[in-house]
Amino acid sequence: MLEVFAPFKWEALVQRWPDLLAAFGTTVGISALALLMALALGILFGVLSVSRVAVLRGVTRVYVEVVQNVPLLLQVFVLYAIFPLVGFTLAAFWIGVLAIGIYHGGYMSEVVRSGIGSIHRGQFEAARSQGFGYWQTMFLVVLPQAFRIILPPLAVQAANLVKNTSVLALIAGGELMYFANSFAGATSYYGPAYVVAAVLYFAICFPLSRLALYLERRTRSRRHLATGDASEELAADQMEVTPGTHDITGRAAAATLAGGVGTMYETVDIAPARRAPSPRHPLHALGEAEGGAGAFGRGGAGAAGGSAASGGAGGSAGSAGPGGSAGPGGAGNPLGQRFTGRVAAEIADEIGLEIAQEIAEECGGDAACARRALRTKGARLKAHRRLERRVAARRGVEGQVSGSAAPASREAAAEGLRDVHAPDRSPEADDALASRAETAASDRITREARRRADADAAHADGKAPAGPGTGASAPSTAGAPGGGGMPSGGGAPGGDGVCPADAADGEGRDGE
Amino acid sequence: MSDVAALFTWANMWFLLQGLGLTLAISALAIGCSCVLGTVVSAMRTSHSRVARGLATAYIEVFKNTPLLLWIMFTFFVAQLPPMGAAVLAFTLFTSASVAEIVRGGLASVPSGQYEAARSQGFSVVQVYALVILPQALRNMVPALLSQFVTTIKDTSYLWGAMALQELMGRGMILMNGYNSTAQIFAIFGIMALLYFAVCFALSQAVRAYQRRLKEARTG
Repeated sequence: MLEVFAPFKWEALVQRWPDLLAAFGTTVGISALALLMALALGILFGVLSVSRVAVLRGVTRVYVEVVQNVPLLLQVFVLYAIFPLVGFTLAAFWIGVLAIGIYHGGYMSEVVRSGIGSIHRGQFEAARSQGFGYWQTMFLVVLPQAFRIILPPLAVQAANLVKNTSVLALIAGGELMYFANSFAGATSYYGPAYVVAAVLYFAICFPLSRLALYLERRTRSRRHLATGDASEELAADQMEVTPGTHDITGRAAAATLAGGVGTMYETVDIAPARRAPSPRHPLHALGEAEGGAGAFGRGGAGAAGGSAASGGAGGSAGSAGPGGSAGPGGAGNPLGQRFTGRVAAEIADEIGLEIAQEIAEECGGDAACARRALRTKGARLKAHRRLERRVAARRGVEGQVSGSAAPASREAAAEGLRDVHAPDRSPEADDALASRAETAASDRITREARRRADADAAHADGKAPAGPGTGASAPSTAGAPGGGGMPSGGGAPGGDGVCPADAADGEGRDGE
Repeated sequence: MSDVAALFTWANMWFLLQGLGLTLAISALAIGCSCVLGTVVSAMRTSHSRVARGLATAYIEVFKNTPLLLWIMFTFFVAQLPPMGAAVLAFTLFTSASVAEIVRGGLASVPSGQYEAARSQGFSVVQVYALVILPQALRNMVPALLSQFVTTIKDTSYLWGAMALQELMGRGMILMNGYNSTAQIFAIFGIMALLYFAVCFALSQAVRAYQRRLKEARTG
């Protein structure tokens, strides 16, 4: 075995170094040009494969299936042996570029297709509703986002492409493998020739596959942020989460990464998006009052607030702890503030505390009165907690733009309208409607609380704002749909008047 | 047209089908061996021994980043094996690297809670793997494994050019020597492409059907 690698054989190879270098250059050249061609074909056919024209989809299907299910060597031979028969002769170099470009174009188009598929439908809809044309949407909105996701599988494909240029050795392609073969055949010094070829191929492909791995990890860690798979990162960064735009979970993610098998299986079971409370939630406005008036002292956990912690953060109750630490950081900007986790829970506690104070003010020492007041206000509180959960659940439908009440898409707006005006509503629709009514009710609570806080700040004696008195004296503010600057859901103003939900009954006179 | 018709004799078709048989035989052997070797390598890759891990990583990286054709040449010319042995060895070595990654990914796709839960129920380590982990992992691995097999079948076409093994590609080329009109050569290429396509397409459709079933099973 050792004589295969005898030193004089290496010397013979070293003496041929200019040819070796030229062959290596040819391999790199063919790879680069074929890669360009494959990318162009991949993007073209990837975009066509999601077209609405059935014929175009059919064409791409045929292209991809034929190219993927017939050996590359056969395709090379077609260019090499058949094209000259019909009077179309190509140099081996260009046969390589063409055949390998077409072959990997098929694979890349599949990668691009799954990348496009992984972009949320809302992106198409949003772009179209903003007046972008189909091609503008595709090339300015969808593809740039898809590109980041498909980069890792593309790098894997690039490495495969370089490896596949070796088949050109069988048609005297003049590239690295051919040089190794011919050198080995001419001198019978097989060992050094193939070892050097292996090293050189490795030198190109290894960085490419490392790059793929790196990109894969980078995208994956970002994806974790987007889909909520990494709880620590998520908790620290919860305010950056824009749910509904990145939910490439499950099979879509798997298909996206079909090129990188390892990732494919590690991303299959990514958890669904964590639910963060909506920034439109009245609680967030309360934070403003907290900063401005100081009436809601932190740390005073009211009797009613204990269970609010679970409802406060919706589905993300588990991350309440870190959320608390994230809250104070945001206290500097009153209007754009969003609270999550423990902070939200604490504010919810403040509402409980507020209600307790109200009861105390109204009834003084009268226990019967206090019990009665607690019943009506308790319904309010319950409605409020339900609202918190629902707001978190509805988050997916509606926009998350801070401070904006505009629905995310035409669909969302339409759904809101449907909910309000549907003649025979399903239980789910009723449920949604009730929750919107709760939104309205809760908005009123919030406004009242804020007014109280302002009044507290203004009149330090604290006599002016008597609970029932305030409610009766300013029904116009409270009852106005969407009044008071509180952003509310798409259907909320309507829900005010239409729905006789149990949540609103305590406040019936406010709504008139 | 008559010269093309002259091509379609039973003898010629049988000749080509034998080639297809050899292609499939080599592929099947290589796939079988690489499933074993791939599992071993992936076990090494995830083992606690640093040496085993390093060896497995080096193996995977080397074979994933060098062309298959090179290894075919290597086993045939440098190791001086007989053609069949060289072919199966080269394919096994090359495919094992991919299979090892697939197996590793498949095992990683089973949440570690499954392992812990099974252990806590009193299953032994072997039982846990045989009864709990592997059935789930295999379900996730099957599509990728089948795709790898498609690749292997396609790649056997190198064997004629490298070591004159008469698989489908080789038999087609041999047949081509006997016929020299343009139409006939077209037809022979067409038949070869069709045969490869039939086998590979059937396999990739199987992958797709399986994935669909998996998806349905998941979404209920």
